[in-house]
Amino acid sequence: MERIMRKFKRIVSGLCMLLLSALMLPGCGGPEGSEGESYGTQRAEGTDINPQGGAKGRFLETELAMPEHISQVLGVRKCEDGSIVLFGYDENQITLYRAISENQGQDWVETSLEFGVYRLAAVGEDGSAALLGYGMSEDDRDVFLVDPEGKTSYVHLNMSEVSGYGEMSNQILSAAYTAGKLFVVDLSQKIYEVDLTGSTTVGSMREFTKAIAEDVHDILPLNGRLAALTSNGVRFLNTDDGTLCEEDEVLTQALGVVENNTDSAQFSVIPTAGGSGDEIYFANHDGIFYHRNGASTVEQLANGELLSIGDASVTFRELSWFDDEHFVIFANDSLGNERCYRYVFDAEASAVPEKQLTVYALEDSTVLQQLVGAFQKSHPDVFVKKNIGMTGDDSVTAEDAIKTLNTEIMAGNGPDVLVLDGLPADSYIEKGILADIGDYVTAADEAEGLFTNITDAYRKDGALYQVPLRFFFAGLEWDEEVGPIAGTPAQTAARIESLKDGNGPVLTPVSAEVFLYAFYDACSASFRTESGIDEPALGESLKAAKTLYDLDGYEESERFSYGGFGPFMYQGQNIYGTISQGSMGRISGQAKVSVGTYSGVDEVCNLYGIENSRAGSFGLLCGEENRAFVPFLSLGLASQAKDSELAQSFIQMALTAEGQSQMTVHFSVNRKAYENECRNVKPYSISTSGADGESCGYEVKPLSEEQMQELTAMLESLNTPMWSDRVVQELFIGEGVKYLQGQQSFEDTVSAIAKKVQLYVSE
Amino acid sequence: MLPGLLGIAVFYLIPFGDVVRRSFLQMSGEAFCGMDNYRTVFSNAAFRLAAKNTARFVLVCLPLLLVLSLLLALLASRFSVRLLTVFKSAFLLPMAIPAASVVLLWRLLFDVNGFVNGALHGMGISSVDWMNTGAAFAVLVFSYIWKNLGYTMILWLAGLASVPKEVYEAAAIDGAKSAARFFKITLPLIRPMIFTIVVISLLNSFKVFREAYLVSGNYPQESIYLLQHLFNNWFLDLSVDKMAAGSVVLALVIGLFVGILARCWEER
Repeated sequence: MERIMRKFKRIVSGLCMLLLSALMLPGCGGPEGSEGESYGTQRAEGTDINPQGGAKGRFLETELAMPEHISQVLGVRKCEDGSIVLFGYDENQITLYRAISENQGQDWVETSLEFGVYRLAAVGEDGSAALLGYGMSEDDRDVFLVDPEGKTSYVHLNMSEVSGYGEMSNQILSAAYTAGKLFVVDLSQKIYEVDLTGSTTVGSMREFTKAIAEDVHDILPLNGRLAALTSNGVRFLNTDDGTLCEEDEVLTQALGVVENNTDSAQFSVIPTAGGSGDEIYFANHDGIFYHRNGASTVEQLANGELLSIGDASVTFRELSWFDDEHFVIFANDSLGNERCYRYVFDAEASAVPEKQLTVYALEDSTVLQQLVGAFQKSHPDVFVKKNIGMTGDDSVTAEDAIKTLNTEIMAGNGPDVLVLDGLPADSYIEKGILADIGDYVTAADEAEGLFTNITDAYRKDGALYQVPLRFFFAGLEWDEEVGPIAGTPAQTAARIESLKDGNGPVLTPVSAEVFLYAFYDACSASFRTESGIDEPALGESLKAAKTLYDLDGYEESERFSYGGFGPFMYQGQNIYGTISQGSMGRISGQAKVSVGTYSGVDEVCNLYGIENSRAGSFGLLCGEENRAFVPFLSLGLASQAKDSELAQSFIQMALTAEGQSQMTVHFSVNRKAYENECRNVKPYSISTSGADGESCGYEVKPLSEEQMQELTAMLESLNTPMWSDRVVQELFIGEGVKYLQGQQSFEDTVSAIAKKVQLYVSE
Repeated sequence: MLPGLLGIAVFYLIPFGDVVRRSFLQMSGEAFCGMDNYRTVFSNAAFRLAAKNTARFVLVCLPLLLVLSLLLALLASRFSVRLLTVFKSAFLLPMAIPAASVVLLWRLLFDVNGFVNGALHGMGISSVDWMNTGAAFAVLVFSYIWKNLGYTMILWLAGLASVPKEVYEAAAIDGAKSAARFFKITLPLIRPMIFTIVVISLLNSFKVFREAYLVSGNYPQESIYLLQHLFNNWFLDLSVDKMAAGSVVLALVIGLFVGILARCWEER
């Protein structure tokens, strides 16, 4: 009996221990009770929907209108009295305005100021400001001072020359105005204090600190301190004596290395001071964070994945802290538009969104992030979880990622929406993985108008399983003197070859891959057959590419690949060399013809600008038989979507002008969005140096009605999608490069591609 | 025995049962489709090519490996213990080299501008595009033999060591020559070992896909396009129905081959 009792006691005490442990566990993730760190909504480590839906409280985002007259911000800051003071130009960059908001950016009072050419404004805690010009010439080195009441004065900046910059000599990269002191960073990337005392009209620059050895990119005022954004991370300085503050390792690590655009004082991370001296808040693409000096952790207050600032193309200007529940962020979107976001803590909102939508893409892109951001903004109760197959952080290949995705689909854990770029879309349709979305596309067409020649190109037997949101195509641009260039690949190549007259090069020196991508985009639809590949048509495209590649006899090392040379030109998404980049060679007299990609409306505006400057014309590459387009961001609805209704609304929104307006690359399939893009192009000018060393350039303007009609007719004439198959495209480019570079014969190249494609198709 | 059986059931038998089930179902909707998947697989040109290449590879490699490794084992069995250790280590070394390094070695050796072509060029022989012509098959065979020779030799050595020395001594006294001793004593006595070695070598021959895939990707030169390439590509394409039917066919063929082999051994 005693043994039984002892055993019973052991069991009971064991159960008690288990129960106690179970009760203690939730405490680890429960509400934070430590001082100053009770702002918690969700943690930095990813976001997932809370199945219990118990926790409450989350920062909600609202986008506020910028001051009516200001379209380019020079500087902005929250002042000691809680007001926000902002300096900027109107859209024509003629009138300078000061705007003040007393209610956290919701309403603005604007006053125009004296005209001047400035590139940045450093605003002080009291609302006074110092506006600085480009400083490249003596006349351009005046600091325009504005006091809190709006009274203005000038101080001439006595800048030292910086060697190695030629005529530019020196200019101010960044400035901070705090406690009546003006600090600047010049081209030598050192911090200087400008003497503004007394009645002197010359502000002499004194090197402020020698405590920082590395290059300083930018400086920000931070509650009596100066945050210096350096090549090694963020350093904090005392504004009194320039000494370094004691390093807070946790904060330094959390802030990381700051990427910034030295032209426009915009950052990848923006810090600001809190109410007490030792509190720091900062925002980056991961969200908004809080840190108390000396604390061992950094608290995530708002998750960037749920906010517009999660878009990696967003750059930050200012983070304004009002209290622990109110923030305002000034930022620029990927198009360079000024944005103002207000974040208010809503104690009643669920800590994490109640619904979740999973979107899968093989590769991430700015456009996808913009679409996800737009959807989340209009659906605050939904968390859109992006599943990216190839993040670039590891060595996962496309095949690895597709295998993983297929396993998930077979296990019933597939995504709700698939971005089909690079995925075996035809196979998924055949296997019933995708649902018919024809009705939503038709509805979107009836509501706002779509380019149905693009969207309906995928319709089979009345059903539509995928729809591209954007598209682009390959083309040519040529000098007016050489006349139009059109026809089959052979005719096009022969026509361009005939322009070789010994009087300079004909084409811009682009790499073998650029030629091959252009020909694949334009001609792959022509060499695709039901049972495999049309070898003569394939051979004609390869020969044409080879003719153009060999025409001017450039070495491969002399050629441009455009890799990483702009937002449109990355290999992963099949955009490889835009036509206007090539046309820069024509405008500078170094080429007569350009081959490349029409990447979007902005691209066409550039082409019209080039033609205004140096007469020419442009058209499709080999648009004789098929007028091919390249689909981009093709969406498919999973037939087994967990929340089919939500997935449908995501696709529906993606097709609307509102959804499309958030996207910034390629042509929109939505006519309304496309027309808006045509009309809203911001004018700018581009200059380059010509073959003779003389400067030449062109103006980019919004499209005129006539130009828009011409472009619309061209877009409407596109009738065939390119052969969107990763395997075939890789074979064409891989074997084609060997042929163009002379490592493989024509016959071997055609045979290698044809045999492998035949095998692939027969599988 | 039960835990072992349980493990085999959970990790092999039950999943394979599911594969068999799927081979009679359509991928879309999982409706029963009878032998349709098998008909599709047998009429598939890629499957026929892959099956032909795989069979050709096994038929060339298996005898070659068995004979070469046996000859080496016979040679090594005459070495002193110290020399034998060095000899065995030298031949086992390829097994210790990671696949990624083997692939790198392949590329260095068999690239159009690689070491082999360099040597051929030095001898006045025109270079060969090893990986993009029929020569790729020879490279694959060489790779398999090179990698497995040492291991198979060790297996033979173990078999040879099990033959009692007294039998050889008695035969020598009776005046039996080397060839007679080999065919009349050695081979009959190591016969149980031959069965094991053949089955292990057969299964190892399927592992050569890894190197072929890493060097030439999903679509290599057609002479080295093996069944594993096809299965891999079918999985990428989510053709589970075809993959299941193909796997069942392959399992049946291997099972049949091993069964016949076992039967032959039993009869003797």
